[in-house]
This record gives sequence, structure tokens and C-alpha cells, in this order.
Amino acid sequence: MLEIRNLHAEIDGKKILNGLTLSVPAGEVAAIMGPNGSGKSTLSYIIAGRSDYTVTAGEVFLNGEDILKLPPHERAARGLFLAFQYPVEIPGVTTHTFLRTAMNAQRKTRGEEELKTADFIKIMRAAADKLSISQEMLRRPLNVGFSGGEKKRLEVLQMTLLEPRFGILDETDSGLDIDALRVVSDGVNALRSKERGFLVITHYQRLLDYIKPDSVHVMSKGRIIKSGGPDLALELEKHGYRDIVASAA
Amino acid sequence: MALRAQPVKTPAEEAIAASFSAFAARQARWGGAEVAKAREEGIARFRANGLPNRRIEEWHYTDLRSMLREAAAPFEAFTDDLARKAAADAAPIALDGAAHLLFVNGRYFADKTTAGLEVVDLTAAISLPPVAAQALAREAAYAGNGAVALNQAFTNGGAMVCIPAGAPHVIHLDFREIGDEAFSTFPHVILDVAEGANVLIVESHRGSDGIAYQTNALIELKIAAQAQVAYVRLNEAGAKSVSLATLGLDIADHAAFNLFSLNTGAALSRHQVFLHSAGEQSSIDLAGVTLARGRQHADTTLVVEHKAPRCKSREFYRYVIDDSATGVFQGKIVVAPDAQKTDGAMKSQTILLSDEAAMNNKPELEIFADDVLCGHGATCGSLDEDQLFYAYSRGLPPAQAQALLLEAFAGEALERVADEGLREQLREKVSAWLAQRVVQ
Repeated sequence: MLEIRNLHAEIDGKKILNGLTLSVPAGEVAAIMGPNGSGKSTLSYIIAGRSDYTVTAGEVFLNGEDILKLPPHERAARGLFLAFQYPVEIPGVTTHTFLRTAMNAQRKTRGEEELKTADFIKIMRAAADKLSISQEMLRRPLNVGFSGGEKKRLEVLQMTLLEPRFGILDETDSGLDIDALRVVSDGVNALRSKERGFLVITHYQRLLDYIKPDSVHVMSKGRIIKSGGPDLALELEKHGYRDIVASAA
Repeated sequence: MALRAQPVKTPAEEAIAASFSAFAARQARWGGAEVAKAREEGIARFRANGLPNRRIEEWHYTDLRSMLREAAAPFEAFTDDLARKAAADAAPIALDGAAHLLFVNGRYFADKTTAGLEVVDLTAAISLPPVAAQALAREAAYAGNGAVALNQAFTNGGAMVCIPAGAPHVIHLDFREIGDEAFSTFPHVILDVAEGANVLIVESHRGSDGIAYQTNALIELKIAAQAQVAYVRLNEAGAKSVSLATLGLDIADHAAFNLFSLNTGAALSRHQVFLHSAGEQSSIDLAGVTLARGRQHADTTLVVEHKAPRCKSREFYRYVIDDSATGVFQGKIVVAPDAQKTDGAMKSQTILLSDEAAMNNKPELEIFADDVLCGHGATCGSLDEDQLFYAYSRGLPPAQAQALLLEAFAGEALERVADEGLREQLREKVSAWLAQRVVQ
């Protein structure tokens, strides 16, 4: 499903990724953990296509297609979704308008028909209810004045509506209280299926109590230095990153 | 003795000065002594100062002397056929139940749909009504402004409209410029809003794209106490045209004035707003969106003078500048010693869409009272990369993502238009402009 091979990337001449290799098969949830500054968020941006990073070597395949050549919106239309660590505020655009525009833009890129307004509203309302997102919130400008929890719930709402084939969650647990964490995790878990893969980036094991991963990978200095099963996350929580990072060096 | 360099007159200045006497003689049959006097004063000022140029501070960014290569002759060949032709073109905006005042190439053409309003065609008056005569005799209020001087000298048409209290009025001042060769127009419109009246005024400008016509309109609005005036201005002047326009405002106690201006037209445009006087506890809201591309030059210049206490004024302007176009925003707020408790806030924000696009911002505050709340802010930048990437990552192609953000940027200013139907039409005009953009 998602194949990252020997990925090297830099920004302003500074190397951030140093030969990262990772494979996430369809139907699986892979978790990436690692200390601050290990390049986790950069990895998510590069997969999604942010242009300020330069990929100097390596490949990223989504369903067998090398997506690094594609502009970000085409990656999205092919089923890639990034839930941002810091969702961006867009004043003047209501959440409702943004959601409809995004859904129809992807449909158009794929050569599908646009959604009828009535159908869109029905789908959006049902999905929003499940994530405890009020209609009032959908009428407000996108992410403007939203709390941390509201922003993260809205990211999951977007993911639900856009039905990606592969979702990347970049520290979706940051800034969430326990109740919000549960709502968000339930939203993600509802999307798990054998056709869909996820990459969950997190600092803490806590999120993985709610979204149970199939594999856990430790990232340091732009590479995966250790991979294992769900137990690896528990081990990290107990002993920290230091020993693993030291033994990999 | 101070030596003043007298720059050589440009061909345009020579042509304007040379055409005056014959033009004034031909037009002498209307307006009487007041108009004749105003013409003489206007041309005297023009002869002394020439076209506004960068040596005059308020024209520093819009140097008409260098930008106006040729002066077109004032339009005089008015026929009813001309009005029929102009009226046959599509209306720039749909306004239900509006009194329609059509101005073609500067002159007012009476229409049937002005019922309920007293409209005087100035060119049909042998002598002017007192309000109009007063308006002509007040050039000092414009501090010798060069565009106003030219309008006074060459007025080629105009109307006075009295707006009574009672049921709300909607008035459309529909300016059209049509023709096969270049000409200039100098309409003067005087709007007299009665005490307690409630009116929505839409001023629109449209003209042939193929000719380099020049308009210089002077609109004076006198608002009596407790009146409410919403004013929407739409500049869709022809692509090669020069569009100068001045709005003079006198606002009495407890009156409210809201202006929204959408500028997309003309090769060179300047909209000047002079708030001469604002009564106690009056409220003034000036806002606008300018969209410029190609080599367009679009200037908005505001002079807001607070002389009475407890007034509120807001200025909120947004610019989107593409290609090698230039935007100008000059906003001056003057608070006189007696204008205590003035509450003024001015903001201008610009998005530049290309490396060649330019914006000149000049906010000025002159405050002589000690108990006031006044501020200004100006920002200028490109589209936000984080917002763009967020939209791309949700599947929006670059052109659509940029259009969405720009629509939102303009939309926040459009929110100030209270009339929903009108606001939607303006929004569609913004979208249409954005849809013509070529995104690399």
C-alpha cells in the first residue's frame, strides 16, 4: 500500500531524512514514534507533497505508483490524506464550504461527478454527528477560533468525508483531553478496513491504547532505527528513546 | 524671492488649456453665473498647477502628468440615440425597485423610473437650485484638488437628486461611456438626503473596452441628521480608460454612512473620498476591494476629517494585485481639537500575486484632540503558504485553492455590504475576476 524506499530529504541544505525505508500494507496501522526533531512531521509533509522540502533520493509508492512526482492535490485525489498536527486556519471560508469544495475537487480530478448539495449535506451531517461536531461549528470559518480538540475532530471529519485509501495522522493526539482523544480515536477506528492503511505519528503510547497499531517503528535522525509489534510502544513508554537511539548509533 | 521651477507643460496640459474657452462658450447656455464662475475658478487652478503630479504630495503615487499622455476632448455630441444605445447594453447590476438615473458620457438622461424622487438635470437648468449652487461654490473644501478643479472647469453634465424621508429608497447612478473614439467626461452629481431618510445608492461605471476614454466624476453627498445611507460603488470602466472620481461627503449629527467600493475596471483609476464634515455621533464606514491585473493602476485616497465630537469612522480596504499592476491606498484621518471621543480605525491589506505587482500604502493620522481612539494598520504580502498547502492537501488544484483564499480575503470586506442580494452580485463579480486568472 504505502512503500517508502531509502528516502533522503533536506530543507535549506539541512538533511532531515537519511535513507528512511518503511512499508505499510493495506489494512494495517503503522505507528511511528521518536524523539523530538527526529523528522517525523517532515516525513508526513514530504509524503503529502509540501514543496519547501527537497527529496534528494528515494521513492514513495502509493498503491504501486510513485507519488513524489505528483503535485499535492493529485496525491490527495489518489487517496492520500494527512491529518495535520496544526490544522491551518482559513478566515473567510466556512468549514461547510471548504469540505464541499475539497470533496468535489477530488471527484473532479478523478473524473467523477460532483456531489449534489442535498447529498453532501446529508453525508456531512451524519459524519459530523458521530464526531460531536455541531452544525454551528460547520458554519464558522475553517478552524478559526476552534479549540485544539475541535480542530483535531475536524481533521477526522475531513478524513471521514474524503474516504482516503491511506491516512497519515501527524500527532493527532497532541492538545487533546481524554474525552476528545476517545472521540477522535473512535472516528479513526471506524475508518479502519482491509483496503485502507494508516500511518500514526505520535510521541506517546497513550494514543496507541485507543488506535491499536499492527506495527511500531522508532524514528531517529531521519531513519527508522527499530521496528516491532505493539509491544515496542510499551517498551518505549517504560524506558524512553535513549537506549534504542544509543544502540542504533 | 523663492524660485519655483515651472515645468514645461505636457502636450496633454496644453490641449486641455487650449480647449477651455471654446468649450465653456458652447456650454454657457446652462447653469447661469454659478457654473460659469466655477468653470473659471477650475481652469485658473489648472493653469496654475497643471495636471496633478508627483511634486504634489497627495498625487505622489498617481502622477497624472506622466501617466496621461493625451487629453481627449470633453464629450458634447449628446443625442437621444446615444442614450438608447447605452441603455440597450446589459445592466451592470440588478436592483429591484431602484430609481434608475442613467448618465451617458457624462450627461444625465431622464428616465421613467425615478418616481418619488426629485431629479434635476443640471444641463436643463438656466440657473442652479440653491443646493447645487452651494456645492459649486465650495472648491476650498477639496484643498485645491487637481481632479476636482478639472471637473469644475469642464463639467459636461450632471444632476441633482433630492432624497426625501419616508419609505427606503434604492437609487442607481448608472454611468455608461460609449463611443468609437476617445473623449472625456466630467459629470457632477449632487445628492441631497433629507433628515431621517433611508437610502441605498449604487454608483456604477461601465464603458467600452476599445477606446481610451477619460472620466472625471464629482459626486457630492449631503446627508442630513439621522439619515442612513448605504453606498455601493462599482468601477467596471473600460480596459483602456482613465477613471478619476471624487466623492465629497457632508454628514450631519447622528447620521450613518456606509460605503463599499469594488474596483476592477480602468487602466488608471483613482477614487478620492473627502469627508468634509461629520456631525456629532455620526458613523462612517468606508470599505472596498480592489482587484488589479495587467498594467492597471488603482488608487483609493481618503481624507476623513473629524471636527465634531463622538464620531466613529472605520476604513477597511483590501487589494489583490496581480501581474505588473499597481495599487495605491492613501488614508488620512484628521481629528480637530474639538473632536473629542473620536473613534477611528483604518486598515488596508494587500495580497500581491506576482513579483512585479506593487502596492503603495500611505496611512496618515493628524490628531489635535487628546481624548481619542485612533489607529491604522497596513499589511502587504503574498498568499499564505500554509493555507495553500492545506488546501492542496485536501485535493484543491492550485488555481482553485488560490481562488478560494482570494475569494475569502475579498469576502471579509464584502461582509460590510448589508444588502444580501447586492452582496451576492458583488461576490460573483469577484469570482468572475478570479476565474479569468491564469495560474502558473
